[in-house]
Amino acid sequence: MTMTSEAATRVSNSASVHLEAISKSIGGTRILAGVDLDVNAGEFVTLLGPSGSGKTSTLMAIAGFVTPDSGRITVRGRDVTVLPPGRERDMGIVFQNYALFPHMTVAENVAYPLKVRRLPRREIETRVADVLKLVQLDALADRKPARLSGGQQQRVALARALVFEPSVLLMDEPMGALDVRLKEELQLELRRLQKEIGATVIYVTHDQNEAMLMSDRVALMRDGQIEQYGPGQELYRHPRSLFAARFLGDSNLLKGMVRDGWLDVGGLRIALPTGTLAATGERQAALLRPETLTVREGATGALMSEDGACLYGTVRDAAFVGQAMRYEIDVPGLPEPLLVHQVACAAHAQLAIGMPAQITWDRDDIHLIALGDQDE
Amino acid sequence: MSTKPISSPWLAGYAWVLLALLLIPLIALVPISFGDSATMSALPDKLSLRWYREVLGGQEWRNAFSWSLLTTSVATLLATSVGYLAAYAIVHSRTRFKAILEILMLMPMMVPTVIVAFSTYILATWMPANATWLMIAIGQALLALPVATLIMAASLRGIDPTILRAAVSLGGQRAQVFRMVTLPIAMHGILSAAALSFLIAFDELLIAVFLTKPGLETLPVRIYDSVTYELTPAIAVVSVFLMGLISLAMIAGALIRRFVAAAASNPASR
Amino acid sequence: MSSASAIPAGLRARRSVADLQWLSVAVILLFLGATFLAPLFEVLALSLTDADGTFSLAQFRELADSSSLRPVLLQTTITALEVTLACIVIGYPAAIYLSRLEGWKASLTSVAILFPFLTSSLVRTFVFIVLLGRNGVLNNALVWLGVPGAPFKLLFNQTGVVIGMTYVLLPYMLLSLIGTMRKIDGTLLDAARSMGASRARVFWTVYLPLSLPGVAAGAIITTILGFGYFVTPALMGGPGEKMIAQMVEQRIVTLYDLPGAAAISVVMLTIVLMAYAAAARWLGLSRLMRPQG
Repeated sequence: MTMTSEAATRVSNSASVHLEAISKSIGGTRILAGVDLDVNAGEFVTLLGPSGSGKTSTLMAIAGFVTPDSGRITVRGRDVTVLPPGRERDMGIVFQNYALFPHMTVAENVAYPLKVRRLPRREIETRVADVLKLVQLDALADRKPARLSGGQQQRVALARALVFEPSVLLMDEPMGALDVRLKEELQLELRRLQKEIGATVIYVTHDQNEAMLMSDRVALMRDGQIEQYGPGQELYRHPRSLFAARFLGDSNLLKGMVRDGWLDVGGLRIALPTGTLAATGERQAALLRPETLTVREGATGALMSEDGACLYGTVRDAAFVGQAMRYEIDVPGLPEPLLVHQVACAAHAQLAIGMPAQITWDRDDIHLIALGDQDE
Repeated sequence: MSTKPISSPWLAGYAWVLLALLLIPLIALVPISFGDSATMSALPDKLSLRWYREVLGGQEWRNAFSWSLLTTSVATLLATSVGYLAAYAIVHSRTRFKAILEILMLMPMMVPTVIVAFSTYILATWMPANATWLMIAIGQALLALPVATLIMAASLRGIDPTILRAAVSLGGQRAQVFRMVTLPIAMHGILSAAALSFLIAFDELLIAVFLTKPGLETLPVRIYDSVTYELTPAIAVVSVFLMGLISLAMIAGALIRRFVAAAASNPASR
Repeated sequence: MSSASAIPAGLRARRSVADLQWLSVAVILLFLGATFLAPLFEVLALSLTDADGTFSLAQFRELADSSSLRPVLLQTTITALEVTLACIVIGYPAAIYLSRLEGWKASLTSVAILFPFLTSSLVRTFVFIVLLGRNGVLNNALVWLGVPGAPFKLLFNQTGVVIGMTYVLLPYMLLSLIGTMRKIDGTLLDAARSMGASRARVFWTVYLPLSLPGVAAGAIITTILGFGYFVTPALMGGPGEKMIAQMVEQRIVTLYDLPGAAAISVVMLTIVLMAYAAAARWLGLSRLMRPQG
């Protein structure tokens, strides 16, 4: 979608949002357990997490539909914790099912927040026309929502949430009901649009790819708390917990104990990344992302290499998944097979099931996660 | 999401009061039925079973009840069986035909009751005099037919056609498929339709008023005459009895629903 | 080998379904035709004959000339509309709350509505005669409260008929309203609030328009039922105040004037069918006929 930047509304009043220790219990169940989050003006932040992690509840607390038991929410420094949703709170919301008014046309839906603000009719018309052009729905202005496709409905919802230039735009899994192709297209569109108009967006999803694709920063949630908050790349490369490592992308986690500058994983010696300061006796897990591993045919019976960045095993499963080969390699001494994603190209010879395999990596691609007492 | 823009404690209070007002008059019939004198009061000075004895011992009320039971039973049977065929045809037929059939079936409900009663009266004039009770039953069946059809059509619509196709492809004969597949699934709808048909037919007044004659008087006609000419607590006794019947029907309905739900969630039990 | 087994199973199944359809249709047409359509046609024919049994429009001419039909028709229409309006005004606010209930409260609601709904209209009318009488509970309460003018005459007049019919027809309205309101998506209201609409505005611009189909369906049911109602007006109405169904009843039972009854029936039927046609254009017939509750 090309942006008609002349008409583009620039959200001039996009605001920063801060959450401090937001807690909420419903019927004795703690759904939010002290959520801290800061979002800069014009930033795209995604709340990511499995269902029940509290991401939608957090969004609804920001929207004002859930009143926290304790904690503080400020928008541009102003406390809005107990402010009801509405003009004062000034937030545009795209609901999961879009919540388009079925008895109004596209244009009437989009005009609704402006009519509520009693703007002059002429101004309403111009602004509705502008924002519909922005989301490329100007041709469908007189349709009822029931006669739109899912993607079009989503864009109407977006236009309606943008048209009154709210200080913050909240989106609750807006791609959930769309098919994969359309989803990818709209994700990029939304990202571009957000950058263009400079809106502050807080976005909820359970889809890690979507989160990483779109956001400046991702807040990974678990059990009503934020597990880790940072740019997607940081979360992916340097997860602070096994949960974070497992939730974002595929992972190989080798748990062991640091011994004399090596990680001892059930007798296998793994070299630590250069410059690591880890004392002997610490329990650590080495995260090896499947795509950082290289696999080739190995010598039968080989066990260990000297440099600690190489393992030997047997191909347990090999599958072609399009852009890559997906291998599972049984390594003696490891409880689970190692997962390897290797780009399918001429440089890599394909291995068959049952073949001996050698897996190598760059020791600096390893990320260490300190294991707590609970981690098995 | 917790905000409910359209609600207030006033609304809630008002709604509960209205529901109470719907029920209280009917509940008030119970004390009235236990009155002792001929005048009626919701708070009788002295409780007695006088009017219960009067009604249960009176030949007139007993006859009226017997006639009602007879006509209503026949009407229920007719409405349920014809309604089932209609529901089946409506659910499985193609578009234009279906619309005509639907309107035809619904006509007795759309036309004012007094006109259905009139046409039944005409029908009775074509028939021998000793078939009058049957004509009452047919008229009652006509009034119950639309509701019965709608209910059974709704439950037949709930049957996945692939199940029927599967049953036929497994070699089931038509009658077998009906008995072993369609009927059990549609049973809930059939029972509801029968229960409602019974209540509608039992409540029917005008047809019976038009066709009534000495020795043939249904319960509603008896009540109607009694309200018009006597107005005694005997009517309250009959009303309490009728409400007991409805309570039983509603409890049975709830039990059946629960049973069907349990059976549906546990297919092995079928 | 029978010829049937030569046909593929799928085709045979389809044919057997078609056979059964035709059989059903034949049975239905036979039943409805003999018991309902033929007598109804006879009613139509009766209305078009004079005393000698020859074709004439005398019945209708007489109805048009006489002063009897027009005031009754007017009275009946007014009563039906009054009752409908009362049902909307009384039922709508309650339905808003009742439609949002869940669990045991929702069950209690449906019992509280369905029980009167299923109870004989004779019984419901009878109890109102008892309660609204000069010495009935209501008037006694009003006198006790010192309401000026009490006891009121609430029985055997137009007031009594409207009160009684409203009580009898209110469950239809409630079921229709609750059925429609239940389907209103709560997030639409949240969305409107988040965009800055006041509570009142959310109601007028979102909730009310979305609930109107239920109001319309309920209004059509109560108006048409009210128009043809017999029991309550007959038992609670005054001697002078007749509704149109009573006119038909009187001509059949008391006066034995079948052509006259037929002519009034035809007038009634025409009005009702016209009302249905208008409603069907407006709402769609299928929507009108959905069983409620």
